[in-house]
Amino acid sequence: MLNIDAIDVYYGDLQAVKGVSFKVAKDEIVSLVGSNGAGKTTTLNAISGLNRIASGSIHFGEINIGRFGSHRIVDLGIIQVPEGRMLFPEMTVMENLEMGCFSLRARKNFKNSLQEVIRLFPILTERKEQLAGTLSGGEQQMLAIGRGLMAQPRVLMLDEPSLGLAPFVVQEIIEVIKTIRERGTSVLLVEQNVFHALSISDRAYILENGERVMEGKGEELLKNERVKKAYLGL
Amino acid sequence: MIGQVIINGILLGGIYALVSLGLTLIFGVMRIINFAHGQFLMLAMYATYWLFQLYGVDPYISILIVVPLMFVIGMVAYRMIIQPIIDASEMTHVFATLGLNLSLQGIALFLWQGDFRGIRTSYSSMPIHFGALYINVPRFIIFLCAIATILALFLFLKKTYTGKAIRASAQKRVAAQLMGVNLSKIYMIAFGIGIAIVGVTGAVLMPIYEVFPSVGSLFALVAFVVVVLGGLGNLGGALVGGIIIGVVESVSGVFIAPALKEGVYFIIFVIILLLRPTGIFGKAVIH
Amino acid sequence: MANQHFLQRIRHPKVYLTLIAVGVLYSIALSVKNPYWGDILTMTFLFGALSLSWNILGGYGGQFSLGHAGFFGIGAYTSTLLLIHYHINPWVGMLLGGVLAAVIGGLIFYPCFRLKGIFFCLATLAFQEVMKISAVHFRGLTGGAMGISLPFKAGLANMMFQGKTGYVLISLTFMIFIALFTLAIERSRFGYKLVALREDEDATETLGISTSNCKLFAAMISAFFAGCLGTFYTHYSSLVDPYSVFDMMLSVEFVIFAILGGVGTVLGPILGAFALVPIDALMRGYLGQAQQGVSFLAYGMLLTVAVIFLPRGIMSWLSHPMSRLIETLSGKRTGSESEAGRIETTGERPQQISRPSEPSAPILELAGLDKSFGGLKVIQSLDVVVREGEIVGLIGPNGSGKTTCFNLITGFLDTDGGKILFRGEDITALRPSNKIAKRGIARTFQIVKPLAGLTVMENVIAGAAEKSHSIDEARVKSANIVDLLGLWEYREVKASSLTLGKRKRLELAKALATDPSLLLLDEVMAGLNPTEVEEAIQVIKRISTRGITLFVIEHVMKAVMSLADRVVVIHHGQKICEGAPQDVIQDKAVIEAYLGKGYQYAEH
Repeated sequence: MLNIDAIDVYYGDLQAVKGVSFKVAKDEIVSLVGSNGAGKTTTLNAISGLNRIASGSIHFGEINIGRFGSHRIVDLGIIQVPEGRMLFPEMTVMENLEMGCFSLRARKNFKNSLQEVIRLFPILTERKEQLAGTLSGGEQQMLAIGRGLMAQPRVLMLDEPSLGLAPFVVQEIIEVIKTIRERGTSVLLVEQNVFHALSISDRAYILENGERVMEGKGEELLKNERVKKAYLGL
Repeated sequence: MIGQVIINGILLGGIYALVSLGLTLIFGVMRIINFAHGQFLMLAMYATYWLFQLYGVDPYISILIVVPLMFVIGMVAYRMIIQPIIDASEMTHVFATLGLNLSLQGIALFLWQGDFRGIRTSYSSMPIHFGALYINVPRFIIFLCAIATILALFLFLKKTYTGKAIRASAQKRVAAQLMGVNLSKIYMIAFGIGIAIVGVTGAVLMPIYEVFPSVGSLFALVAFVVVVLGGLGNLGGALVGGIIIGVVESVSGVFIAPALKEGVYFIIFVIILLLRPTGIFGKAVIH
Repeated sequence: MANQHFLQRIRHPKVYLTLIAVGVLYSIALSVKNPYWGDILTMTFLFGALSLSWNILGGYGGQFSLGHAGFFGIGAYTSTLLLIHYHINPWVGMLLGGVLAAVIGGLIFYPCFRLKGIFFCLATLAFQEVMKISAVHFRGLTGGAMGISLPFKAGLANMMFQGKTGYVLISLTFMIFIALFTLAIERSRFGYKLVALREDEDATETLGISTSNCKLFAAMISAFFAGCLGTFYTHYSSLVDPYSVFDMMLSVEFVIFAILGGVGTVLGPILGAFALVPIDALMRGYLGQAQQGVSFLAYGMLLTVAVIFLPRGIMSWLSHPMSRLIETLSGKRTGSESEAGRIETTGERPQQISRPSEPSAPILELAGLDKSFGGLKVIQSLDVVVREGEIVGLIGPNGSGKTTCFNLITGFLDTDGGKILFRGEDITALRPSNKIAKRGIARTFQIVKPLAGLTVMENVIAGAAEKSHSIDEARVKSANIVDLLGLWEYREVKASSLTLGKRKRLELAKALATDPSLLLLDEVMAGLNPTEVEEAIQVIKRISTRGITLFVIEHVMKAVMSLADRVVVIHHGQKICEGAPQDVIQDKAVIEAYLGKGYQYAEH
C-alpha cells in the first residue's frame, strides 16, 4: 500500500535519511526502530509532505505522492500522530477531534468517526469540554490517537506514542494499536522502545544513522542478538 | 466632569481597540508584526471618502463595499509580500512591511496630495445626553462596532471550520498541517480578515476624522501600544488594552497637559515592554 | 624603522585606494561652486555619516534601532541651547551634545536590549516619539513647535559659512572620520565581539563575552556620533525644530541607506547614501510637488525589494570584485593578516600533558541537581563528579536529560535545586552566563551554532577575543587552533558554507579559543560518517593532551568506548550507572533503559 523507495531526506544541511526503503501493506503493523537521530521522524515527515525528499520515491498504491503538499497527503488518508502529540492546547478535547476531521473527505463521516473514537477511548467523553492542555499524559496520547483516527486513516503513522508515559498506560496504547489494525487500518509505528515495538509488529525495520540496517518479522527480531548490538551502536 | 473625561476615554478606547484588532489577530496567527497596518487603515478611509464624495454613499453603508475590498487587498498583499518571507527573520518582516508602509504612503501622496480631507454627515457631531453627560453619536457607533466586530470574530473563530483551522494554525502550526490544513491558504485568509477589520475601522472613522496620507502612522503607533499592552494575539486584550489607553490619554489630556497626552502612553508602553512584554493578560493565544 | 613601516603600509592597495578616493571626494567638495550642488553634497555626506553612525549599532551589533533621529535631535537641541543661553562655542557644544546623547542612549537602550527583535524596534520608536512630544510641549526650553532659530555668524569657530563649500567640507570630514572609526572597530576585539553577538547571542555568551556590555558600548558610540551630527545640521539649516529633527522618516531613511548599501560594512551606508540622496534631491527639482509621493514610493519599494532579494545590500555584489581587485593590485593573496599569524605559530609546540593515572581533584561537581519543566521532572537528584584531566562520557536514551544537564552547568537554565561546583566554587546561580564561560567552562551545542555570516577565522577570533589582551594575540591564538583542528584551508570560508563535519570542528575551535579548563561536548559525532568520526576522535584526544578536561555527551558508542575514561549513564534525569565503558554497556539497567523493559538478551 505504502511504498517507500530509496529516499534521501535532508534536515538543513544534514542528510538525515540515506537511501531508505520499506513498505507497509494492508492490515499490517510495521515498525521503524532506531535510536535518537536515526532518521525516523524525518522519514515520517517526508511521507506526510512536511519535508522534501531529495531523491527516491514514495508511492501510495499507484500514486506517486513524493511531491504532494501535506494537505493532499491527509486527503489520501495517510495520517500522522506526531511525536509529543502536538495537541491544540487551547482547544477543547471535542475541538481537537473536530480538527482531526478537517479534511473534506473525513468531514462527511464525522458522526461515525466520533462514535468509533469514543468507543476506543471512553474517557474522552467525560473530558469533552476540557482544554486539551489540561489532560494527563496518557489522556493526551489517547486524544492524539483519537484525533488521528477522526481523519479516517488508511495508514496511521504513530511517532513515539509511548514517550513519557507510565507502563500501564503504554500497555493500553499497545492494545489500542492492535485494535486499530483489526479495524482495517495499517499502522506504521516509530518507536525508541524496541521491545514494545517489536512485540506487536508484523514486520520491522531497524534504522541507524539514517540508513536501514536490518529488517525482518517482529518476533524474529526480538530474539536476534544482532539487533541489540546494532541498536546500541556496537 | 471626571465622568465626562472617562466616557470620552472609553469611546476613544473603542476606536483604538478596533484599530488594533486586525494587528493582533495577524500577529497571533502568523507571528508577523505588520508595520504597514496603519497604511491599510488610510486606504480604507480614502475609499470611504471617495465613495461619499463621488457617489454620495453614506460611510456606514460603504462598509458593505469597503470591507470586501480590504479583504481582497489584504489577501493580495499577503501573497505578494508576506508569503515569500513568512519563514524569514523578524527583522525581514519589519523592514519588508515598513517598505510597504512607505510605498502606500507614497502612492497616496502622489494621487491625493497631502491635503486633509473630511466628510460631513448630518450626524457627525450629534450628541446624546445622559443627564449631565453627553455621548458623541459617531464615536458611540464606533464603540458598538468594536464590540460587534470582536463578537463576530469570536463566533467565526469558534464555530466555523475555517475559524478553527485559524486557531489551530496559531497554536501548533505543524499539527495543523498534519490535519490537512493548507497553511498558506489559512494565513492568507487570516491576513485578509485582519485587513477587512481595518476596513470596518476606516469606514466608521470617516465621520469624525479627516484623512491624509500619513494618518495611518498616528493610529498605527497607538495600535502597537494597545497590542503589546493587551498581549500580542489576544483579541479580548485588544479591547481592554484599547479602552485603557483611551482612558489614559483622555485623563492625561485634561489633568496633565494636552500636548503630553500621547507621551504618557508611550512611556507606559516602554514600561510594559520592559516589565511585562507579554502584556497584562500574559501569554497570547487566540482562544 | 617607523618610516619604513609606514611606506610599506602605503604600498598596500587598500590604503592607497582609500587615500585616492578620499582625495577625489575632497577635490569634488572644493570645486563645487553651485549652491544647489553644494546643498546636495552636504546632505549626501551628512546622511552617509548618519547612516554610518546607525550602522555601528544596527549593522555591526544587529540591534535595529528605528529611533536614531532621537539622538540627532538631542545633539541639535543641546548645542543650540548651550550656544544661545551660555554662549558656548558650537564645537564644544557639539561634543557636549554628543556626550549627552550617548548618556541618554545608554540609559534608555540598556534595559531595552533585553527586548527581542521587533519589541526593541518598537521601544526605540516610542523613545523618539516621546522626544518629539516633549520638545513640542516644553516650549519654554525648546521653543515648542516653532523651534529655535540660530543667528547667522560666519566663521569656522561658529560652524557657519557664507556659501556652501565650508559645510560640504565639514560634512565630508565627519563622514570620513566616522567611516575610519568604524573600520577601527571592525578590526578590534570589540568589533569581533559585536558581530559575534549579532550572529548568535547565546553562542556569544558561552564564549565569555558580555553581550549586554557590548551592545551598550555600541549604542553609546552610535548615539554620540548621531548627536554630533545633529549639531552640524542645526548650524547648516540655522534652525532646530521638533518635526525636522525628531522625524521618524529621517530615522527610517538612514536605515534604508545602510540596508541598501550593506549593513555591517564600512562602505555600505556610504554607497546607499551616495546612491539615493542625490537622486532624491534632483527629483525634487523635476517633479516639484509630486516628488514627495514618488520619493516615499521609491524608498518603500527599494526597502522591501532589498530586504527580500538583497539582504546584504549592494556590498554583497561588490565585495568579491573588490577583493579580487585588491589581490591583483597587491600581487599576493589576501588574508595576509592570518598568514602572519600562522608564521608565528610554527615555532611553538603546545604543551603535552600526560593523562593522569590516579584520581586528581574534582573540577566539576553536580550535587543533588533538580530541574522540572512544567510538571515533568527532567533532572532528579543528579550527582556527578568530573575530575581534572579526565574524559567522562554522559550517555542515556533520548530525552533522559543530558543536554538539559549541560544547559544547567553553563547557566543557560536555572536549577530547581542542588548545586554546581566548579573547582570548589559554587557557580549554580552565577549570572549572566558569560561569567561561567569566563571561569573556564566552554561548550559546543548539539545543533551547532556557528556565527554564520563570519568566516572560520573570524569565528575563532571571536572566541579568543575575550581572554586575549590584544587583537594580535587573539589572531595568533586563533591561527594556532584553526591549524590544530585541520581547518587551515577553510579559514577564509564563511561558516554558513561549511559542511556539517567542518562546522562541528569549527564549533570545537571556537570553544577551544576561549582557553577553557573544562570542555562540554554535546553530541559532536552526530551526523558524521565513520571516517569523520575517526578524525573527530583523534582531534578530541589531542585536545585532551593539552590538559583540558572533557565531559562528553554521545550516542555514537564507538566514540564513547575509545575516548572515555569513565561513563555516566542517565535515564529519566537520574544516574542509573557509572563506570568503565565496557562494563557500563553490559549493565542490565542500562540495556533496559535503551531497549525497553522485558527485552530478552543472551548472557555472555
